[in-house]
Amino acid sequence: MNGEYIDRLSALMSRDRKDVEALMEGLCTIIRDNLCEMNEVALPGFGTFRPEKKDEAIVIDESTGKSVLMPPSISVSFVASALLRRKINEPR
Amino acid sequence: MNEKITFPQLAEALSKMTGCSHSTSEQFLKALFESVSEDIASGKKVNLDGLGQFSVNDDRTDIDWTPDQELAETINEPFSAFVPVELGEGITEEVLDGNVPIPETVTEEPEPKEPETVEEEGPASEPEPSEPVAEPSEEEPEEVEPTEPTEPADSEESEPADMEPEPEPGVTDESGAEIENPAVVYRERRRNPLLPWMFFLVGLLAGLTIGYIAGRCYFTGDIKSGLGIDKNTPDTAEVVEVLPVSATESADSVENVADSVAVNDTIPAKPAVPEPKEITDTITRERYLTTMARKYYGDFRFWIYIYKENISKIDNPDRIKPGTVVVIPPAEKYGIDINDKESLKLAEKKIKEFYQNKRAD
Repeated sequence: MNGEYIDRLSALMSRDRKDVEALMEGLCTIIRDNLCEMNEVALPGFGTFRPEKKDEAIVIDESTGKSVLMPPSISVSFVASALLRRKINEPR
Repeated sequence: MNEKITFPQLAEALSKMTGCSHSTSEQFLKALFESVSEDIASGKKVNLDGLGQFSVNDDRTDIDWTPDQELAETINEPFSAFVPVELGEGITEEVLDGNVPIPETVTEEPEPKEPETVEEEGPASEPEPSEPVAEPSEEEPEEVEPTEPTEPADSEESEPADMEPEPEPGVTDESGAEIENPAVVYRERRRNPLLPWMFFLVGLLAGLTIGYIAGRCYFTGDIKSGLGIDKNTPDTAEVVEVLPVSATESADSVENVADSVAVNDTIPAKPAVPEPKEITDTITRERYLTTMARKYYGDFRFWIYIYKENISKIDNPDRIKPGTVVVIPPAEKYGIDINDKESLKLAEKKIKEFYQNKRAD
């Protein structure tokens, strides 16, 4: 899938495929690093990646009725931007 | 930490990382997300390696995002050492009946691990009556939220509202996507009020252990015996230690070596055969005068006699050097008798005297 976009973008930007590949890889790395540091990453017109720390919690497995202490975790939510939502809601 | 990375910052970082110009990275970002948006809007599932999969949800109101597995693992690396722990039933009941966590603490906590000890003291120690009331109301929006359709017209406004409640794990028709494994369907509690007690217990246990060891060290006079290392000194070490001593002696030493080894291996306080020959032992990192005293005489306090016998070799019994060969005097020489309380008392007295003299020096 990435390859498809790289091809398309290199044509769109009239740049070498390698350059676009590097940009793509760099983008993923930057987003990942920032999320690791609990930074929000906002992409205008697209959406926001928002990491959230979840503390350890007792959860009850409803099938067995056993309670389990879940370790803490970081969950990232993606909130689509208003623009993108409008786009997907447009009747076509 | 907890910053918001804006588009210019992102472009800046990207240009730094790749060496492209700022305008190129901006152009790239715009072009990429424009085409991705279009693909998503047209109903395609877009899978970006390193980010995850984006797709339109069923009622075409929002975007579902499934994070890339690798991304999720990297972000959760700090917690990779933890595993879910099944709790005993007693604990659960206590927790459910007693303390109810304060919901705000989630946002307060920037650090993953350290602050927990401090912060969690709070919810556990103040079981306010208002909290149980606050808790259900905090959970309510979670259930209501998914059914609430997102209006496209004022989506600008509805955006922040969407993020506030935590997306229920396993519920897919919400704006947020979960990185956690949603395999288990569960009811979640934000905080574990049990944790402060766990920390408290662990601390108490550690304190007790340290206190016990320190106490033993104080009474026995050396750390190793306090730690109980002397107890399992291997017998094989014995053979090695005696050998060099006897080897330096006369030709008939071979027999003596065998003898002394045999004696040491069986019952310590039975110097029957090698009466004419002295018993020797070597100080090691795990064998002190006290350990020898316990071994040969049955009580560590008799170390004072071993010291007195070897006063020429040992300057300071508290600073013995490994490798020093000491002579173990026969028990009769100093009237050592483990079964005689007087003998023990005498040894104690001598130790006391010794340290008094030492301090006087």
